[in-house]
Amino acid sequence: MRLRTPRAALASGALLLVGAADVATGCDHSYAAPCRVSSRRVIAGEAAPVATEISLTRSRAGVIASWPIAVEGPSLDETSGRLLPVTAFDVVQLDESGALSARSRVPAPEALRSRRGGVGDDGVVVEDGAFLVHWVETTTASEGDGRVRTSAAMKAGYVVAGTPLPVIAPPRAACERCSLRIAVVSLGAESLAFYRIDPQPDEPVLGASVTPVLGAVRIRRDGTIIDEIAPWLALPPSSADGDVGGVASTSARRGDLFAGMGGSGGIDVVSGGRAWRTEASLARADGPVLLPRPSARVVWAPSGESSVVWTVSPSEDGRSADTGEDTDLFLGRVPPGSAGVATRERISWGARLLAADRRDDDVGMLFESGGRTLFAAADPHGRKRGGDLFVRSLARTGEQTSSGAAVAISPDPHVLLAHGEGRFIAIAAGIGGLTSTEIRCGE
Amino acid sequence: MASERRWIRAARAVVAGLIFFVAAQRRAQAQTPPREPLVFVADPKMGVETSVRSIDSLGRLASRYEDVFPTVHIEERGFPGKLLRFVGRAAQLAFIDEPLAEVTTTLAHEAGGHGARARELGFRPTFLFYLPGVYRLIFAPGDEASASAFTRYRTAGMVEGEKEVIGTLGGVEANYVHAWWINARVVRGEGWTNKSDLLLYTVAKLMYADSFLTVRGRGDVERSNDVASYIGSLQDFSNGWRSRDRDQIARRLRIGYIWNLADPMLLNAVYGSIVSVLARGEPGRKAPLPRWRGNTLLVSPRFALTPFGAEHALDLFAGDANGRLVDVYARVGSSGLASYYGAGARILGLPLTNRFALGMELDVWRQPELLLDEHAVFDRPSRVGVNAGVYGDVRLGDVLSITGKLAGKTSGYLMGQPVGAGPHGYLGVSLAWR
Repeated sequence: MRLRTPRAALASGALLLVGAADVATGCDHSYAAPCRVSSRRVIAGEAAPVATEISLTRSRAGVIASWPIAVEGPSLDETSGRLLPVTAFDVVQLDESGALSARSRVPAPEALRSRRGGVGDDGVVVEDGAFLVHWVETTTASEGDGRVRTSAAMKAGYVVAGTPLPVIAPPRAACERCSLRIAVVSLGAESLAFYRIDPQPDEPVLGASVTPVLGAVRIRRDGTIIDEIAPWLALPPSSADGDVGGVASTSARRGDLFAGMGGSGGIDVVSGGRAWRTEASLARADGPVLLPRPSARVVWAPSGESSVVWTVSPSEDGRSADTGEDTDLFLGRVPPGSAGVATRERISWGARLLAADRRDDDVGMLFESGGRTLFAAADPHGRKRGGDLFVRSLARTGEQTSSGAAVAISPDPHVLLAHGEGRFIAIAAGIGGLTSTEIRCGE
Repeated sequence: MASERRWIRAARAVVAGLIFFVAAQRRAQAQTPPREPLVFVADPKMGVETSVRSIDSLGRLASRYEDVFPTVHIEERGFPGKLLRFVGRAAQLAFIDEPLAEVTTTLAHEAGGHGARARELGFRPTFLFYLPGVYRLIFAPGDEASASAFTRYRTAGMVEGEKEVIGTLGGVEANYVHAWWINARVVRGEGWTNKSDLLLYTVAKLMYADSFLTVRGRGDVERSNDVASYIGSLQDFSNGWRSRDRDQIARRLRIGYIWNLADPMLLNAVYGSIVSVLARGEPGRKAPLPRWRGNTLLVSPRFALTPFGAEHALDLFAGDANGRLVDVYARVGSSGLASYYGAGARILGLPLTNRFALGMELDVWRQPELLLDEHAVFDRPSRVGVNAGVYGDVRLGDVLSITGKLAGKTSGYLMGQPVGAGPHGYLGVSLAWR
């Protein structure tokens, strides 16, 4: 062959040999996932009714899972799509490590058992030695002008040693021509019930501005009801919501209210795109923080700095005209004393946020992506630690169209507990039961 | 029903006309381009290179249709004769040669590109092909689909992250692998490029050219556009979620794509298709390639897509008419999203005995580690990788040879080769059917 190897070939060959030696000697370090599932256990193997009826909330000592059961001639409530009457609640208490600490069946007060419709926000919280069952009774009526009006009232009843005590009805947590949402937080010897009242506008004008009322009442086992004064717990007219932090959000769902124990020891309250942290005395600790999305989660740090986690699609915040693109998961930082998100970093894609928590510089996020529950860890500045960790396959509930496509899918409820030093506990409820997954992240 | 009969009559007329015009084109050629052996190879997953070599040979086999048509001589004297011959060549180009080239490159793009990568990654690809070229205009005038084919992945899991980008870029990758093998043929043919290869090279190199030069990112074009999807995947790879990140990625890709167009062989192919074949009626074109010590030389810019962004290679080919070929290349990435570069060499057709020829390939690279099973890793280490292999060709007669390749590589992206670590290669036959 007359062909001669060019010098360039020799140079390339030398480079190849260097590369081969590099590989052979292991000079390069491979990627190692920083987080792993260290243990997984099924807390309650039998499934709760459906995921949408399971309440999974953080408590002072861990996590409370509860769901209503209807065992006495249940019938379908056409309005809510639920089986009524609620005759009892199953309550599962988990400790901070995700281990089962107690399980109870709490009978519903007779006032709730007799309701065949018009029941909402029903649930149970666990106090020391007692359970507090709460619900909202609604009454709908057509008035003379043809408009449908709803009246609502909060009801609550203690159950001590399996015996229901008389039902309590806080007068402030009731309204005419309104919608009412409640969220109850156990403080051990008493409970705090937060309520939100959205008045129906007097005139049926599309987009009419209404000012929601937020408040709280303290409920004690002896029947005492204390109307709390918390002027900082206020919302602007609902039509003024949106466009928070430069993000063109859809309007917040009317009546959204969340209250629960936070990881930092305070009580987290979220409503109308705003988040607060309060002490048990209802002295404001932090907030309000304007949320970039109504579904965003705030995790507070003792320093006063908070982290906000949310999902938004590129078409919703103006990055793309394609409405079919994946939703992105973001982590933002709210400096102490600030009311808005100062930074935002993308953590992942294809996501729906399920839970988030923070301890020190560990921010953990549980989210759904493609029918899986994934976990991501980052520092408060959004510096992500490795890739996403597969936690479990999601058992999802939802309606099916005639073509089989799933619509209106509700995610299973999740709670994430951050323990610091890269340790997290993910609690999930749904088909397959109540599961606890421990996640450890190292350097 | 009447409408169907009308179309059947029209189709018959088209076919009859085609036979006439094709026959009219044939004339004695003083010098015809050499014909390389047809290579049909296979491997368990029909990888990119395997598929492309076989599909390329299928296309070349189909392009020999002229061998079986009757010869009709039309004198090219006077204006009517020249016009008739030109119209005949144009019809042949429009009704046979271009659709053949389109079918071949589309098949390589879908089945040998997207499909090969899907098979490699464990997905089950399905394909949808539209009528090619002028036939789509005739038989499906109302079809508004912009693509000529689709590949869908059937899988229970998610196609995302690096699996998605590797599947997305696989189509164009196959076309560029195809272009490399055509270049190898041209060098071994001392610059001769036949009509089929001129068209194949043009179509393969210009696949998605309009998108490369205009697209900005997701949402700008329909979701089936490979280039738009690729930009979206690069956004995911680099966590460049902001609009300005997308614009930057798209801008770098647009600029980088000029490297693909700055290819003298592309100019040769376009010129040859229009001037040599269509206007002059020649069977091909001999590119004026430099020669050195009996070898034909070709310096060819090569453009490629990688999971980390666009890559620019410069190939130096040297070969002779006996089938010997050396290609030495260096490549470097230009996306700005990561550092990735490499070099390599490929030698083909070294005769050891009368019946046995040997070849070899060696590639080395440094690039970000491929993490196919990880989700949303934005900060990853770089890895050095190596691919090395041998080609073998055993002649069993004047026509038939057994040909194959056995290679091994470390994990990493290399154009046309599997992404995973381990042995790879193919085995098949080579038909020197002149």
